[in-house]
Amino acid sequence: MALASRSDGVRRPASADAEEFEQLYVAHVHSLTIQLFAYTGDLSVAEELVQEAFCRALARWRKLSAYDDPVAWVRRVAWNLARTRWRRLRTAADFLRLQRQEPVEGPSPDRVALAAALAHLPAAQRRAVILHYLADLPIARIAEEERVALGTVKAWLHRGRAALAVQLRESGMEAHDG
Amino acid sequence: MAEEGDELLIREAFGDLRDATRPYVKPAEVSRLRDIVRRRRRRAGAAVSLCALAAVALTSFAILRSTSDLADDDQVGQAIPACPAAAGGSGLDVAVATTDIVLGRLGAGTKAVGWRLGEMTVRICNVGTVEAPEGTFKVRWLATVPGAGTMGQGRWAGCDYADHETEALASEEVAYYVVNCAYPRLAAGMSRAYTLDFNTLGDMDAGIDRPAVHYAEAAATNDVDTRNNRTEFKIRIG
Repeated sequence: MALASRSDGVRRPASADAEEFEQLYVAHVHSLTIQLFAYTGDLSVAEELVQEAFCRALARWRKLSAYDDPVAWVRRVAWNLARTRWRRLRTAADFLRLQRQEPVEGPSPDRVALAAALAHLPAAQRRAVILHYLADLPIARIAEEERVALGTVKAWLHRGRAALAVQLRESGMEAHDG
Repeated sequence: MAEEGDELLIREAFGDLRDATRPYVKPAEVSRLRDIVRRRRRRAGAAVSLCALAAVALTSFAILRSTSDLADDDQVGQAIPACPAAAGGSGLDVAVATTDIVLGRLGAGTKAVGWRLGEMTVRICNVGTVEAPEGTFKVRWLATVPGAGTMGQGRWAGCDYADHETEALASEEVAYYVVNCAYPRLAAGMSRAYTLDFNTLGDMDAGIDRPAVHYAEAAATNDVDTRNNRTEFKIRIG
């Protein structure tokens, strides 16, 4: 089980905990943000979601640091946040940001054909495709995280892949040999 | 074969996405995350220590609320608006009364300098002759004045954001927040008042008086008089 606790039972000093958290953050913040960007199509939202997930992880780091794969916990929280109402609760901040016309840096979905193509997929297929191709999770692990049967994930990936390929080809992308 | 081609195409596209996006990701410093967690812990601690006080406040609030469950002339203070007069017919008649959204002076309350806190009261009235079933009322207001606190909690309990609305007014497009809030069953002649909190940046003041239509609306099936279902209000600095 991905989120199972380590069994060594050794209690580490707080400084070691802090260092471990920092290492986990540095190692995974980019990849998680890009996954969430692919899902939401909005880089600033993705950054906020990932930051919130890491904040929650930090608040219970003593416990999480004993997990075999703490990043799986962070990823699950970030994805859950993306799926739930949290994003809507940020509406006020989003509006203020828009009204104040602060420049927001980042690649627009138009610049990244895949992000635009992903927006056309149903949410479940989009999650499966991103977890498989961006998070590099095997199908069995996606099924576990999504709490669905293996065959369901395979079907999501099959449909998602076919639909994405059509979208990408329409946008002028072609695979290169080798 | 086609599937292999798709697979290759998608793997390439994801590689591009990763490369194109990575330079733009601006992760927060870990120290900032620590600050956030520390602040949350402090707030949680303060909440626990205020628990007893909150219990007293909640009791007072419950009493205040129950006083609003009275007939039309039951106004409690200035904040609760009077219910509209009944149309005179018999049957189900839900009506809405509101105050304006009144924003306070800059920096007043707990917000940092530069912010205004505000509130409004919406009152759902059963001015008909039969019991009104539980329902929802909608509040729509200018999107430069966000609701304060967390939607669904505190004074916004029972409320949830709906999709934004936009409207072309006086050669500009105005964006609105839309929130739907639940109200309970109301016996004939009874009402329920809801006070809602807002906050906004002072530098948004210029946009507050732009032409816009803010309103609260409650609709009930078989309502005998729909003219009093919607009430418009203003946003002003008090």
